[in-house]
Amino acid sequence: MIESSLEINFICENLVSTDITEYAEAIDENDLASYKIRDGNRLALSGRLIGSVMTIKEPSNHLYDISDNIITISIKYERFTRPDGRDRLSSLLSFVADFNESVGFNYVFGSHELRIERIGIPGDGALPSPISDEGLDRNQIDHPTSVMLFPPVMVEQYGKEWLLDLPADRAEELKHGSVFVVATEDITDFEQDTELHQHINDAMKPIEEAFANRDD
Amino acid sequence: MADGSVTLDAARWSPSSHFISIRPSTLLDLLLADADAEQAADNVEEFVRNNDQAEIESLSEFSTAVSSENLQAALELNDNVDVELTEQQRAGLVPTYATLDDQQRERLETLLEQSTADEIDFLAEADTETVQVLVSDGDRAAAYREAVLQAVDTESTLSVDEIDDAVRKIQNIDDATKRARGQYIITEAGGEGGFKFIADADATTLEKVLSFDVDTSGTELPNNLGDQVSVSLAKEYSRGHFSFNSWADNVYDVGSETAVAREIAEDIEALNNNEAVEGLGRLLTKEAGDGSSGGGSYLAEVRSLSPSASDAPLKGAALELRVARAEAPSPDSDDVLRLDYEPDTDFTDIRELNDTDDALGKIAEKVYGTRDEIDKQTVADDLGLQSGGTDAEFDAVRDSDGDLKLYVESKNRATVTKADLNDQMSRYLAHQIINGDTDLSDAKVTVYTRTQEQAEELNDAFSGDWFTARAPPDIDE
Repeated sequence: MIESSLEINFICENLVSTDITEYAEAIDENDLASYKIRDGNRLALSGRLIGSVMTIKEPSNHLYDISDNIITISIKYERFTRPDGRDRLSSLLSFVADFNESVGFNYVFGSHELRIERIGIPGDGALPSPISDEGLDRNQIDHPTSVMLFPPVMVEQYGKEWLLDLPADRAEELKHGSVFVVATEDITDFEQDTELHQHINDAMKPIEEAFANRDD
Repeated sequence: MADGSVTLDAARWSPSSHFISIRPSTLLDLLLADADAEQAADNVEEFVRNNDQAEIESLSEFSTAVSSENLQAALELNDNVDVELTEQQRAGLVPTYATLDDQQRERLETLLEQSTADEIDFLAEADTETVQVLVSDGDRAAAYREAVLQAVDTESTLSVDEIDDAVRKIQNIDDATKRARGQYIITEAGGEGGFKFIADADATTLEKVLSFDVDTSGTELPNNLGDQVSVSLAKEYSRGHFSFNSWADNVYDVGSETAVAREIAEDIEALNNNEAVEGLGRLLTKEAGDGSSGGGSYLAEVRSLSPSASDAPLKGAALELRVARAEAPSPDSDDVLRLDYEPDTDFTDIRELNDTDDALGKIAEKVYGTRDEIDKQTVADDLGLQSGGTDAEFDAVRDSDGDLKLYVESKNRATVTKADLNDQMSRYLAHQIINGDTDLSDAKVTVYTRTQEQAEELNDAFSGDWFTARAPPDIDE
């Protein structure tokens, strides 16, 4: 059975707190979802997002090349393989877009857990960190991922049309000028982690090529 | 001959003579290359007596490096191979050709005619033993031959000497079964790490990796599963996935990357030899009996995965194997350790128990800390109650007369949090309740993580005696 997770990370400049309640307020203000706060820094989403857990991770608990804390939503892919899996995925992506609009993050990106685990590993198969402090200072990312939400300053940097033309299942402009890119939403029919991982790898290839060949 | 005559006079033969009167001069060089004067004279006389003019003339193409002892072989090679060989190639091939029987010679002749220039260079430069192996009879030998020559052709970092060394290293293994596995590694993964692994591994490591067995009798798993896993180990080594800068130094106390392969091989061997362990083949293949599920290790399937699949399949299986070896009952125990265990449990059965005994609340309290409605809903969703129930798969369970005494989970990850385990814990506890442990007094879980710090964080996150997290176990050899 599928045991791996989808992780969606919200980047907020100079985030040092590990108190999730501030972000719970943003959820409340816009009535984005029901939830329960556990242990101060974990927020269990419920309703249509049940099984999703939002946490604040310190740098020692994430693999990205940034010095700030990050907010992460983690959910097992297995839940997307159920009969209502497509609805669950759609609900999650809607929540991500709405939560971003509410808070105004510097960047949002999501990835399969097995791709995250490849960051910085020795040997073949290594992937770079999707972001770095230096890259974010330039309003740029370091490497594309399967879910990307570009804020307006990054859209200006990359070009709206260029982002909307990326070879992805979803590349759409949101309110206030953000662009939301999802490499593949066809993740509901897999039975094994390696198959799903390979599918996402295949979906990422043309997007990685587009970024690699882009003239800055 | 060019001048139409051959003059032989034994008195004139000496190593210092130039034998101008006999053409081609190469003939004489060949005849005298490693013979004393008397022997050389005999060689020449016998040779001219036994061969016609055309054969003698054909020697003009030959290298002076071909010794007189191999002249007949040189002639036959020249006659039987319809391909233009350079002097250097011929000089390398003739001594080997001279050692082959008729069938081997035929296969070499065919091979030369079908080979590229690089492949012929390799065959010419390779050790005689190597070529003898490559012209052996049978389908496996043919596949092995193809793999070796393919490695010569591809743009790899391997030199001819390295390929030659690896082939001879395998050939020098006394045990035929181990030798066959060595050849299988080359056949399946020569250019993808097979040569590198064989070349780099020390004798002990090679012995272990080429010898472990996996009993698949009574299953639909391939009977050469041990061979397949050994190929995966070679590939993973060459991909750098045994590097100490990742996970290997957390799991093993060894001094080299090839030794990681040895440790895995020893774990497999120990588990295969322990009759109190069941399901080793399932763990290595992660293929359920009904093909409906599979988890996160797939060590056998690494063979077919691209390098971009990363080290995830390997590292998952590696820790599971090590943990299983540590948790395995003694062979004479009544307990059984079932690996990659998929219970036949219908989680929707818990609804009935929940109506009378708040089963979901009991699970929620252990996993999520309270019996709040939202936590019970989360447990219900962990079990997939809205969609007919999820499957369950446990890395290992210790079974005593049908009762699960212990559930063992392994998480070989750079980061691991409570959220990574919650749904699995819900399923395990539901399995316990459905199978009679209604108050969960017999529930017991051990989770092995990559590091002690990860284990401590999980021990803080899950409260109660039923849950323990630990760093990778030490194995006393």
